[in-house]
Amino acid sequence: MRSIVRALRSIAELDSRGTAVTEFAIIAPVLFLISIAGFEFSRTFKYLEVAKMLSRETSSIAFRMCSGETDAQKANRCLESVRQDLEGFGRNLFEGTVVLVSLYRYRGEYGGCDGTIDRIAVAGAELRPSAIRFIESDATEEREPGELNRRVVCDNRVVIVSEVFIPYTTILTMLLPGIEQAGGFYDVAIM
Amino acid sequence: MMLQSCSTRRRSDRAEDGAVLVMMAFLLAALLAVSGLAIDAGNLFRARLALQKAVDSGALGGIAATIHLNDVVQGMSAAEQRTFIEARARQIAHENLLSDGLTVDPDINILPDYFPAAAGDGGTQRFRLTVRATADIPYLLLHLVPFEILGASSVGRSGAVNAAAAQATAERESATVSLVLDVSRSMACPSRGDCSCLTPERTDSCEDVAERMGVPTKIELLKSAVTTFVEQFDSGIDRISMVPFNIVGTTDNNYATGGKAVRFLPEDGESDVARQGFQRDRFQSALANFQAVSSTNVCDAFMQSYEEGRRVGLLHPDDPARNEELAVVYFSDGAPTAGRFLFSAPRELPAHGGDMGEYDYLHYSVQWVEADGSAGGSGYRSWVGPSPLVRSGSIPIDRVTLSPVTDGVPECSSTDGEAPSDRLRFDAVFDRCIATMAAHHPYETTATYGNNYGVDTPFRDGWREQYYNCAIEMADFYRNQKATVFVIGLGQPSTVFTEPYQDIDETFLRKDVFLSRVANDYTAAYRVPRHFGGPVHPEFSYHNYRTYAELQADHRSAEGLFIPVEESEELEEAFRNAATRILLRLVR
Repeated sequence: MRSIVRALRSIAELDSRGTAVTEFAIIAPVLFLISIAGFEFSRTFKYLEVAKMLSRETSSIAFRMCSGETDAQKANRCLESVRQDLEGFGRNLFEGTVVLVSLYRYRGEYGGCDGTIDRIAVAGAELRPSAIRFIESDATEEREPGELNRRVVCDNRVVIVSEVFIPYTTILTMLLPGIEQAGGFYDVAIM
Repeated sequence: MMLQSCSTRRRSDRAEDGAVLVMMAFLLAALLAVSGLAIDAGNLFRARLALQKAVDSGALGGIAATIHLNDVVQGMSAAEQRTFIEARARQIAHENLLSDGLTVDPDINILPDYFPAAAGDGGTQRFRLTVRATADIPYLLLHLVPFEILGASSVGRSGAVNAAAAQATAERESATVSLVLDVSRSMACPSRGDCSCLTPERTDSCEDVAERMGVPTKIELLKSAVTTFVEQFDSGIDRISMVPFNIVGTTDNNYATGGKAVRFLPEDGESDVARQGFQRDRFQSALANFQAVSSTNVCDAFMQSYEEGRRVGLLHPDDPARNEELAVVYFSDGAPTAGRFLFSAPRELPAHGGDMGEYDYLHYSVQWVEADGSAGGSGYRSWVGPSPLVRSGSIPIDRVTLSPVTDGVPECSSTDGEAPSDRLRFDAVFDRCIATMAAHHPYETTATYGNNYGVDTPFRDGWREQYYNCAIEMADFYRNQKATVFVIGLGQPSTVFTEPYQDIDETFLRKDVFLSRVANDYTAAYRVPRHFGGPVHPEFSYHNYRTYAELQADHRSAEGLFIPVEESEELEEAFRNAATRILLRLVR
């Protein structure tokens, strides 16, 4: 009996020589995850910056070159050429980048908001549907991405909106095959 | 033995039991702190990007409001304008922030500042709008970091006031515009219906026909369109000149009509340095004097427009890089029916000494009047004239009589001292005249100008092409001087596609191939319909002609815009469109 107890005790004491390794083995995945998270974190900075920069530039260039067009066909052609240039630029940075540009014009008495808002052109719609919706609210609560206040078009008469979508996959989903992820960075610039 | 309890481990080893746990506790705390800081940094970064985008959009959008909302802004006082434009900038910036999920108080956090920059700081006045924006970002841990130790004192510690900020500036530079307007005879026609009031069989004048039909004449509609155009610009900052033309363009008086041109400021005297601004009433009185007579000399019109820019130092022939960027708005309702001939290589003028360089001949068609006042035949006159395309400024020309004032120039007047009363005698004189010039200036005798202009070869065929060619050459030259050409063409389009001149003898239809090329509008350039072998951009083929591809390869040649207009009622919209395009290109 005593020999069994002694044997058990000695087994327990033998294990104490490997406790550090075991502890590390438990913690290691957590550490691994944390380091990946850090890496992802800095990676998202790059995506974020590019998305914002692209949408800003697209709006700016499209506004200067195309916002004077009243004819829908010419506007479409103009917007399409701007869109393609910038989408190409974005694709060089990140694959699968999609850029959309649309031109809105308010037809009606200036000052009111009852007239119609014409969507003169939307370039890129065949690649991805535009998420722009006009809402009536003046409020500043949470908005869905793509919702814009109608008032902005009424008061500025001509508005160019560019949307940029850059698909993003985390490293983990790349390492673990089979997990579907349809996410990305979506940015809107209104001018 | 190994199984002896506690005998292989020394006391010091046992004392370290649990050390890793303690270390992990510290490590975890540190990890959490670092994550907190990282999250704060991420938030700040995101906020900064969003703010930057918002202020950029707000600044550009605000400046653009001065263009797109020009009719709203026009009637406002300076202070009202300022408030209005700043409100637009604020609205756009706010909208961008909201779409990014950043909630700010627009009145506190978004600060636009709109003012025309003073002329003192380096030259031209321009509109400038600066937008600043800030956002409060709630910190997780950043407020605990003692930045003061490193010397920084602006980081808020209590809930992070003004944690992220961004600024952007947009400017609308001053515009320099030259209007080149066709006031030839066809402009007298009523805006609807045919132009039979110009035929010899007519019984009424065009004005009477128009009044009977209850429509304005084309020139009336042109006047209101030009008035609308001028209204889009700012009379304190932008420069506009107007060159009405028919048989010649001029900035003194229109040679044939007595109508008035409008020059860049300063008009005369004071100095030869261009001032910013223009006077609206000068345009009103000039437009009131427009009359539609005579032919269409496009080439000279461009020349006059160029020389007006040169007069006030906006354009420098010897150093085009210093030129102001100029927008030329050329309007016409028909084909060129007068112009100059260009020769392609410099030649010495043997009998008169000195290197006269290239020069060109002014050539146009006229209606002769007999000595007794009755209508004679038609004929052609030709004079030597200087042109900025060639360095022949040494041949001064009296611009009223269009005859050279210097001796020793091969004078070639088709009158040869007296007005010929019959066509045959005139033709003989004219041929001799051209032969004289040809003898002094031998030139390529290939199909350069569609004909062989030898000493004893009749030369009348192919001269109409010269008018087109000269206009294109002049527009190309102007483009090399940093101008952009906007063309507004009025009328029914010609449907002849067999040659680029689109039926040269027809002068009333709108010649889109020619007009697109004058504008260098490659994108919307006239395309030959598919069943004729198109879509292509028809090209001309005279000597030294530069194709669209060559112009595109030349980065100096700006692509302009051709605006076709079918009905005269649409003219006002076309001019407004041109004004908007010109102004938008000036937003930086």
